[in-house]
Amino acid sequence: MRSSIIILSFFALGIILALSGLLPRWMLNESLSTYALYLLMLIVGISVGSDKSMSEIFRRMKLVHLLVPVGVILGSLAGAVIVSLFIHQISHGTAMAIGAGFGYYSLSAILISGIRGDEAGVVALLANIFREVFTLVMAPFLVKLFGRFSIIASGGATAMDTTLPVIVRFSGKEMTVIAILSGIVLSLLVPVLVPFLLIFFS
Amino acid sequence: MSVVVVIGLFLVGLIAGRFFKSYSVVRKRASLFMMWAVYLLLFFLGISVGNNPDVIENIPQLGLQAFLLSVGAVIGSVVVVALLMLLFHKNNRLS
Repeated sequence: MRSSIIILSFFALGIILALSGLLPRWMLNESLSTYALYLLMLIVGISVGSDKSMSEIFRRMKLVHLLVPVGVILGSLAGAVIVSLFIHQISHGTAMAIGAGFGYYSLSAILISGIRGDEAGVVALLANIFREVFTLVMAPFLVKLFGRFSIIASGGATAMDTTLPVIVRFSGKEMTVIAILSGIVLSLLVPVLVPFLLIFFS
Repeated sequence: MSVVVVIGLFLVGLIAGRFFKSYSVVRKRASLFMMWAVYLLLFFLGISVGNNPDVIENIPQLGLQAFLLSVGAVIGSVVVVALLMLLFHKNNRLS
């Protein structure tokens, strides 16, 4: 939660400074953030590729463990597309890309704003923050209505960190491993799936 | 096209990262750098949004869209995972 607040403060600070009109001209240059995004993607790749524990986790993983993240992917994309049928301002592809943020709002908002523009980026940021907040708030109800896996499903990528405490508390300690696995798989997919959906359905 | 560059650079990083597996320094630097790059990019997104009157005016509407998309994605995920569990997950083998 602490890092969420820091991240949002940077976003808010940007808005406030822009509105105040105090910023120097060069900071308003669009290509600046495009190059920063390119650099970020390279670094995300390096950090994933160089992670030894990651390959260890994948080696130990059984096929059944993938059921949860696979269900989250299918469900998030389907749910977002169904909603986009009723919202004419958002295309089906953008809606799916937003759903494919899986709650990883920093990276998904950056990617979607870089590729689809500010408006879609803001929706992605808010939608994926809401996802984290819903999961934290609704956790006890989710377990009662849909069973123990539901909080992990709702948490998506955040099941490995920010929503893990409510998963442990309301679904049980024995769900920790599956929550972390599902969260890792989904977090890793965000940088690939979001741009892919935006190209494929544009 | 920028999307291709985005995916391409991620893959290049992924492959390059495999050569740094035994250097924990690289990994630590990378995650620190990543954190600051995320802060910087969200700061830029904020600036860009603040300079875009259309977005600022539409914030309530964008918020509603975000809310609905989020509800859709959460309900979809929970329902599909519950169905998959009913189909494949017998005797709690997963936990």
